[in-house]
Amino acid sequence: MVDAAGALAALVHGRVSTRALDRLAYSRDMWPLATWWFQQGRVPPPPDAVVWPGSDDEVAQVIRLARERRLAVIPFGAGSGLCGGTIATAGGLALDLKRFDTIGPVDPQRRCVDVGAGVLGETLERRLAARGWTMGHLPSSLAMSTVGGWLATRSAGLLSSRYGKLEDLVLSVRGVLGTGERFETPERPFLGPDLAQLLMGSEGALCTFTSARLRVHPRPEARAFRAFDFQTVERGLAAVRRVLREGLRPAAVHLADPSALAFHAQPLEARARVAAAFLPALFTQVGTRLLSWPRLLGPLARLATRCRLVFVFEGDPGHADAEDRAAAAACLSLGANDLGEGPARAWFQERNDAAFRHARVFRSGALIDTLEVSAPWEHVLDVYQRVRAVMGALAVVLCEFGHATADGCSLSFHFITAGGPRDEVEASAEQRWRAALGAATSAGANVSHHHGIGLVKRRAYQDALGEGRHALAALKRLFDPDGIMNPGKLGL
Amino acid sequence: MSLPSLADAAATCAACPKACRFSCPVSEATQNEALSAWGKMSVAHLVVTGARPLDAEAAAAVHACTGCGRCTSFCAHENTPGASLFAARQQVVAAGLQPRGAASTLATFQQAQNPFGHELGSLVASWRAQRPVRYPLFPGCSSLVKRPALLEQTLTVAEAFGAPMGVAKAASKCCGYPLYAAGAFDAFTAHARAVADVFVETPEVAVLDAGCAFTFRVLYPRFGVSLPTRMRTVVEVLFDNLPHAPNRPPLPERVGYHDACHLGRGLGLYDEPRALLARAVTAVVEAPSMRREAGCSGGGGLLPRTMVETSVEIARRQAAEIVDDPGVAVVSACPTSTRMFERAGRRASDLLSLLERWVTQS
Amino acid sequence: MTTLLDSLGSVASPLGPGVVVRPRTERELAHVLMVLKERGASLGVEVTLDRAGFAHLGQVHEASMTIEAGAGVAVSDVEAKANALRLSLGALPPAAWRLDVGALVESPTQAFRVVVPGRLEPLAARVTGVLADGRRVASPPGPRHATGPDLASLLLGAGGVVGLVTSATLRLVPLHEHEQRRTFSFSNSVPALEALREALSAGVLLSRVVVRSRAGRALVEITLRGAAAQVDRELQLFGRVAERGGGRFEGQGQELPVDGDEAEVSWAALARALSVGGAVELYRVSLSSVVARGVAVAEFDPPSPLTAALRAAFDPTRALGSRS
Repeated sequence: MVDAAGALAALVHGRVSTRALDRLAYSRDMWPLATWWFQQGRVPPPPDAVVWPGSDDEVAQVIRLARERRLAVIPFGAGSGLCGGTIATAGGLALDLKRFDTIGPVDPQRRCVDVGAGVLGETLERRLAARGWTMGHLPSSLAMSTVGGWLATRSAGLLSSRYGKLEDLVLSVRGVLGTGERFETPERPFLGPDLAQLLMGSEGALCTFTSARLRVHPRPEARAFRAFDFQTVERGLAAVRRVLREGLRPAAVHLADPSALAFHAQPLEARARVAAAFLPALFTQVGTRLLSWPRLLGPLARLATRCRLVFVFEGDPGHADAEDRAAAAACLSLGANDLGEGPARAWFQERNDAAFRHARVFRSGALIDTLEVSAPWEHVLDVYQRVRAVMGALAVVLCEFGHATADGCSLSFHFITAGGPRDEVEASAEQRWRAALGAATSAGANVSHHHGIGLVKRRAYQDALGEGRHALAALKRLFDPDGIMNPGKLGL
Repeated sequence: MSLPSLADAAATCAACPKACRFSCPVSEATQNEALSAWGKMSVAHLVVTGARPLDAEAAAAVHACTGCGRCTSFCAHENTPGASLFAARQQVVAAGLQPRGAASTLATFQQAQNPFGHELGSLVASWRAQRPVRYPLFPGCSSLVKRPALLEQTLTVAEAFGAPMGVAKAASKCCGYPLYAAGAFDAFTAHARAVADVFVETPEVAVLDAGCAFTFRVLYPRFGVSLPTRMRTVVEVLFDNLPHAPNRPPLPERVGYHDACHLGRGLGLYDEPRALLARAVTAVVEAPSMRREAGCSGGGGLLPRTMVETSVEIARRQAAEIVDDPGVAVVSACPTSTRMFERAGRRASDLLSLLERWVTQS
Repeated sequence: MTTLLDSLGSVASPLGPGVVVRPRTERELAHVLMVLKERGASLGVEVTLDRAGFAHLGQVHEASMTIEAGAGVAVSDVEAKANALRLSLGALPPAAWRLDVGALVESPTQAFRVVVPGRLEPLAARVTGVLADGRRVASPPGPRHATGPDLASLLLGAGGVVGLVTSATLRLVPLHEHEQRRTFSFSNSVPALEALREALSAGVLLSRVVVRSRAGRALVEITLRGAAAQVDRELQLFGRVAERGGGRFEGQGQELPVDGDEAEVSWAALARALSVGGAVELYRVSLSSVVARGVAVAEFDPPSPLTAALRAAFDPTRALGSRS
């Protein structure tokens, strides 16, 4: 590696580091188990070096050198992934793309903008907003994820019901394959497979992205918020389906099940100071003990049935208002309690606070894992019930439904469990993932809606691929013949 | 900040998924995860918990912070990584691991009682007012040593606003911010007490440098030192006297405005400088992130001395963020920020310089 | 020596000088492709593929508004079954109705529908098929996924150059109850096209558009279909957008057809075509591209080197023929 570091430095104008603390910062993403380890003072294996190339040519040269030296290359955005997708299981090079930080001018006719892979989402959205545009892509990781990371994992934002997931917002992508060859995908109309769709979601295992041409829209003139309570999750889901079937196009749809509603009900900012000091201690003393008996907490949680549905409509003021009223009428016809805009607006404003809430859980010594999948509507309720049934004995289970489209939605499950000795925590985490993914897929869900596969879901993913794994392997051979790109991820 | 609270703050950041990631000017300029607020606090967490030694790399990490406080603006825990990292610098000083720029600043300060090594008393004497003034002015040693023109402009503007100022005798003392930023907390406390003694006869002072004003009004009380003096920024004094400002048309210029960290997040002064600016020029460009969420110019936390290129890169980025067109000047009500933008090769102006051109236009 | 016909087995029968194959299962299709590969033969040259054997037309899933159909099922039959449950494939371009499901889902032009705000989405929520190397591939369940590379894109809209579709789960919409047409005039085709894009961004779904450009004037006739309340909302929205763009309401419109073949074109190509006058009829109107009649030449970027690499990897002998 020492030799390679010198050669790398020559390729990237010295922008390479083998310093221990730089490597340490790139040793983990936000995989909950890694966060839990870190709280105990442990870190996953770090990469051997961090490299910051500044051009497509430099990326290509780095990858070619890595091929020669048989070094793993792990493309790195901002490390916000939750699936261990950037863990350097085989050492190698963390390829930080943040020098690809340009945001081009918005093309108002074509409604697009060229953006470097290293641009952080919050920076992009603020710059666009200042010019009167939006991508409409607001993942909860907006502040700590990059365009390159979005491309690598097929990210989804809060407003995906209207604007789509990241793959719906991409006109073309540019990058470098694991062969060291540069590529740029064509824009419509084109002939042959949609190469951007083929490469997005590859989690660094086939290529790395350096930039993308992204769709933008004029910033909405207005937003209409409304929240409803329903007596049961079934009713809430039925309301979502009815609203979509009536041709209404909410930007955001979010249904919190009773447990999630209880977990998220308290406004964060107002009580932050007290809560930050008080909650971890309380959680450590009481919560974690209770978490040791999820069999007790599960039935208690099931006593509560009330769930909360939020719609956000946006765009032309008159249109958003008309859609909001029509959605309200549809919900009321299904027995909803109309809570007005207050709770919906609060939910929207606090939409990214889950990260902070989860941090508190970790501070208490407990663990919170998130599994998100999606399913067609005919299977959604079954997926929800089966996962809860299986996981109820292992963890406190919360579920949020979102990213709804006419044909289905995503289910984000959060599993809260007590901490304990390392071996037990690791074993039970593995057991939870296996049980939860087994329950979800057997009920008709896929293995991920927007977090990706990484290390955590690689086995379930390969199982779900079936014979398709041969096609994936063929792509790997074609685009990364030496297997240097992010080894171990996607089960490759 | 005591060690236990540093441990708590660091553990909170280490458990957080970088929710403030985009806000840190140092990590944005270096494009290095290790230098994000999360990265630096994670290192602090490992050091505090004994999982890693406090070595030169860790020392450099805790110095890679301007103390701008922007991360706190995006933290639902209201965690203060800036203050925590400055507190961690105490351990660095004790271990003799200070980065060179910080160590030399500290050495200079201990010798001359200011970071420039100048004898400030004679400089102050040269500004002794010939006429009675309404407001004693505390320019800050940075302006006193490096920006005499800015002092001249400030006095001219104050006169035009009917609020004549003169350099205060107490201006021969540095506020002590460099000691705080170097992590020499005991020395800072002692220095603050000495400064407080100098101000004992002065009921009110106008402070030109936002960093000095922040130090007097926010840091001193945090370290248990209370000043007998009403400390207001020049911006606040001029804002109060705006009704008495000369009735002149605004200059036909377009400028970008930078919310200086100590003035904005530090002292909560957002509207006052904007009100002054709105009178002076016809068009003001605002950054995509402004007021409480505004970016940093890279001038704080001793960064211009510990990470020279990075601090200039921070300024370059912030100027570009405010206004892309390099022909448009970036205006700030903070001499340090203005100097950073100039070092980054941008047209920049202190608010007072701009006001001076406005009040003296023919 | 074994003939090609013999090697292909019971799924093959002679057709003039050549051979026609009618596989009914993915295993049979995979066998056909393997034989073609071994013998260096190609579909469309020595062998004609008939996918009528993939004739399964599954039940309509009313909850998710989808229907599963074999590649050999006529699109019109899918529509008939959906209509019985008050659902529909929606406003497809006219040529789509003459295809079977396999051809529809493989077509670069026809395999997509438009959803708000003017974005394309595959008509197929799921697809299964056989790649040229004989391996089966299927997309995961669920409306969207983050499960690695989208292997379905080897089939969806890919023109059959890497693999062949055997079945698809097609997305439906409620059967339209209501249709409205409106005509607006603009000073020329430039603001007219901008108003259309603006309307798409704002959330209007345009079933069909006719643009007629004559010296100094452009007439835009829009057709909207859907639930009555939805159409009314979107007509009002379009009216506001058109007005902001300098458009003037001219009346109800008359559904005047335009002659010519359908082609997928970019907005830039459309603007060029209209700049010299004439008329175009637009379907599948998205912000990315439109399916147009009346534009003489479809413009495509040259094929990507990656496409050639994929073909070489999955179909080194060109068993799938020279499809495009």
